Formats: sequence, C-alpha cells, structure tokens
Amino acid sequence: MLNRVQWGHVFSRGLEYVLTFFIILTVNFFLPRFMPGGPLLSILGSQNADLPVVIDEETKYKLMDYYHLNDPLHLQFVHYLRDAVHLDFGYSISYNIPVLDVVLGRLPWTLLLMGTALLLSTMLGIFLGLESSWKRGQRIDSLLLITVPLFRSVPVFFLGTLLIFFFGYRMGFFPVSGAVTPYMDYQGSLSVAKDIISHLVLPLTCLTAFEMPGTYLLVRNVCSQQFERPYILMDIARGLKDRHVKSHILLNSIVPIVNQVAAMLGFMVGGAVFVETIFSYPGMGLLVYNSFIERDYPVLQGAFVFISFFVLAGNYAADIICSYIDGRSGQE
Amino acid sequence: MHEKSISQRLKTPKGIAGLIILVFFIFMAATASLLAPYGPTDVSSQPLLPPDNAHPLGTDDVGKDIFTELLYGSRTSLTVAFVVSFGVLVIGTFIGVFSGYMGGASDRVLMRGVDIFLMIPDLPLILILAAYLRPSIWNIIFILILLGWPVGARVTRAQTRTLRVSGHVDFARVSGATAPYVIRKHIVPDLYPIMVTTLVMQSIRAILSESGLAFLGLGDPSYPSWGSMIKYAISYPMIFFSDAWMWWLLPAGTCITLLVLGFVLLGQSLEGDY
Repeated sequence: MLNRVQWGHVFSRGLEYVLTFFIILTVNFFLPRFMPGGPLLSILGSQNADLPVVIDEETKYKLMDYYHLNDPLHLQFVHYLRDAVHLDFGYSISYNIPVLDVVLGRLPWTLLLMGTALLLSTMLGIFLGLESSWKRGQRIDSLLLITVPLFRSVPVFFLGTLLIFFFGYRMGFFPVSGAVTPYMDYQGSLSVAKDIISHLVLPLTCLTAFEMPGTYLLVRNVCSQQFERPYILMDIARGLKDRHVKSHILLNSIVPIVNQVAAMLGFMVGGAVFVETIFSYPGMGLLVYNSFIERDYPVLQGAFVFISFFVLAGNYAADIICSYIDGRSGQE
Repeated sequence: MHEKSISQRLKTPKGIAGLIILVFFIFMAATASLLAPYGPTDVSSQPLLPPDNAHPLGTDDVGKDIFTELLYGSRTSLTVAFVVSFGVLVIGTFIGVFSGYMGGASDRVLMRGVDIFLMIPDLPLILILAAYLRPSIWNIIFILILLGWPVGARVTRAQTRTLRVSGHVDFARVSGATAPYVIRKHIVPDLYPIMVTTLVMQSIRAILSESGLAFLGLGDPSYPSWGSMIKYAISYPMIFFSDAWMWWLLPAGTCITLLVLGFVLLGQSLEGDY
C-alpha cells in the first residue's frame, strides 16, 4: 500500500481539490449576482416582455426575503454554502421539484454513457497508440496518424447527425433517441438490458470517437519517448518477445496516461453535452442543454456543481491510483 | 540550431496540405461578397428549392441561398479562430513568461490558478455564461479567450523555465542585462515555435467551439455560421426523408471538418516528429 510520504502527497492533493471545488462554488455564487438583471428577473421575467408579471412592492420584498436576498452579500454566501453542503440547490423552475431530484434522475444515465465511453476510448487509444509507436514511421503508423486526426476534425454534433442518418434512418439498426423505449412491455430483465444497450450503441460510438483521438495521440507520444530508454535495449538484447517489451513500455508510461486521461474529463463532459443533446439521451448533458434553453438557472448551476464535483473526484482518483502505481510520486 | 525551423517543418507533405486547405478557406472568406450570388441576409427565393442554376446548393427553409450562407460562414469561422487564437496567445504568453521568468511565490499562485481553470468543465460554464449574456459573436470570443488562456500560459511557462536556466540566458544576465531585455531578446524569440503551435491549437478549438455553440443555439443570429446551418437543417423534420441533406447538411459539416483538418495537419507538421 501507500507509504507515509505518499499519504502526505495524497492528502495535500486532496486539499487542493477541496480548494478548487470551493472556488467553483464561489464562482457559481457570484456569477448571477454580477450579471445584469438581478436575481428576481428569472422569476418575474423581463418587464419589457410582452406579458410582464405585475408584482407589488410588498410581495417583491417577501420574495426577496424568502430567498435571503435582502441580507448582506457575505451572509448570502454563508447561506449558499450551507445549502450546498446539504445538497440543496433550490427548486427547478421548469420541473418544479428540487434540483437535487432532477439531477439524481439524470446522473445514472450519464455515468453509464460516459463511463463506458471512457473505458472504450481509453482501451482503444492505448491499443492503437502503443501499436502506432511500436511501428513508428511504418505504414500502419502513418495510416493511423492520418485517419485518427480525421475523426478529431469532424465536429461531434455532425458525426452524431451522420450516425443517426445512416444507422438510424437508412439502415434502421438502432433507435436514435432516448435511453429506453417508452411504455415498453418488458419480458424479464434480459429484454430490459437489450433495450438499454440498443439505445446506448449510437451515442456511445459517437462519444468514443470524440474522445479516442486525444488518448491515441497521448499514448503514442508517451510511449514513443520510452524507446530511447536503456531498458528497451536490454529487453531486446535479452531476446524478449515483442509483447513482453510492449508490456514493459506500457507499465512505464501508465502514470502520465492515467493522469492525462483524467485531465481530459472536463473536455469529455463537453462532448457528452453535444452527444446527449443530439441523441436526446436523458443524462446530465441534455439536462444542462435543456435548462440553458429554458433558462432554468437553478438547475443549470446545480448541474454545473455536480459535474464539476465528479470531474474533480475523477482527477483525485487518478492521483491516488498514480501514487499507488508509482512509488516515486510526491517525492520531487 | 539543430532544431528545424518553422518554414522547414511546413515543407512536409502534411504541412503543405494544411496550408493549401487554409489558403482555400481564406480565399473563400475574402471573396465571399464577390462570389456569393446573394447578400448574406437576403431571402432570395422560394424555400427548400433543390439545386439549380440560380441556387447552386438550393435554398433553406426560409428561402435563403445555401451556397451564399456557406461562403459567408467561412468569414465567421475564420474571424473567431483568428481573434481567439491571438487573444489566447497574447494573454497566455504574457502570463506564462512572467510566471516562468519570475518564479517564486507569484509563479506558484499563478500556476495553481491555471490548474484550477484547466479542471473546470468548460462547456457547462460556457452555457451558464451564455445564459446570462446576450448572444453576440464578441461575447462568444470573449468567453473562448477567458477559458482558453490557461492552456497557452501553461506551455509558455514550461518552456520559459527551461530557457531561463540555459547558458546563453545566464550569460546575458551575468553580463548585466535587465529582465525586460533578456525576455525580449533571448526568451521570446525562442518561444516562436510554441507560439505558432498555440495559434494552431487554439484555432482548432475556436472553430469547433464556435460551430458547436451555434449548433446549440448560442450563436450570433446576425452572422451566418456553419454550425447554425447544421442546426436548422436537422430541425427540419423531412431532412432525412428527402435528398435535401445532401446539399443542406453535408456541405456545412464538410466545411467545418476540412478547415479543422487543415489546422490539424499544420499542427502535426509543426510538431515535427510525425
């Protein structure tokens, strides 16, 4: 397990993540308060709108009081933090239920989609990247170096549209929207799984294609640097089989790969927003998009806090895994 | 110098292919008003016409000429790419060089800040900002620069740290050169390759983000954008059941892909070892 230096490293990294999360909460708190319009605008609507909500001063004051908006800013901030710790992000304007409930309903789908896509794209990226760096300068390497960036150049929403068109409409292989068939009469848990998987295929393909090129280039880059190391020469001199040399290369490059893949999580969330929007997949991404379109500010901001939390947690997990794999971490 | 110069690196097949694509789109943007048969906001004819002589790519659902929109779309994409990448370059280089050259406490604080910025998932934050701001092209550019500079600062700072302890910089400092002089004469010129890479990478990010935001409906309605063309094309219910996707959906998507591919090829040739 981890030794004392490593525990110290893990702990100090943890403090940094807590600080980062606190800053994200702070940004989330101050953003609406510094924007033009005032906090009640989202409830009342603009007074220049076609149908302005008429509201008398007393009700307005009561509303402001209800939301603690008459308090000085620092007290509001304390209230906000206390609520955040209790996972209370207010009520959704369009669903009229607590933000927490909305988010919890969406979270499993996103974890399913993003988790599977992350796993697939990382495995594929490691496989192709290692193969590519192993055969550097040869035919297969240059072929991969041309085709993989092509995937990176196609905007993810365009790729999604093409997938819907060819595999959904033209061939009719897969359903193109939602996560399950509505009002379906399931025969046992097998048919539930089949339904969920068939809905998952297209968004998963799209998100994997979005994430994979980055991982591929990263793995190729990291692994290529290993070839100058003496141990490779030693391996070859000992007459080891290719796959043993490859496993040595991979073991020596796994730490930067894990770190970098975790660092790309925030970027992947962006891809998930597009993919879920295009395929109407009921996850956090679609929730963020819908609440943006409906200007459902509490949900938008609550979802942002939740997403940030998961991204930070993913990064922290990667740090812990890395100090477990690499005994030297934290000793610079 | 043992390193290849920028122009040597661009003279590889990939670099030339990238340059040709880029020049093609710059030409398209520069001559849009000459080549386009109609104005960018003209409702020129019946909606949903198939391609003919008057409309090389037909018309969209409100009767605008798709070919004209496509030409003007290159202007929006290239402008955003240009302004965002230069904005990120200037701010990123400034902060990166300052932080890397000065070192010490300010360096630690700045880089911690950069780390925090890099970890925030940007698209949800962009949506929050956009929900509060007006949809305008300048707001999009502002947001993209705001969330992009940490990447530039990070690479510039790393390179500055390496340069700062190299022999010729030490020699200049010992000879009594002041910090601004050393930075101007010995640090910044050696940062040029990194700067070009930053420009290319940020252009890719800016083009994909701009079209993506336009696709999500955050675009500036007064600027034609390839992203919003795709958005309107797929919100037309019959798009996949007629041939309209071929001249409405496909050209816009192909344009974004090609332009980004051009920059990707440029980037690969600049990084040399490919």
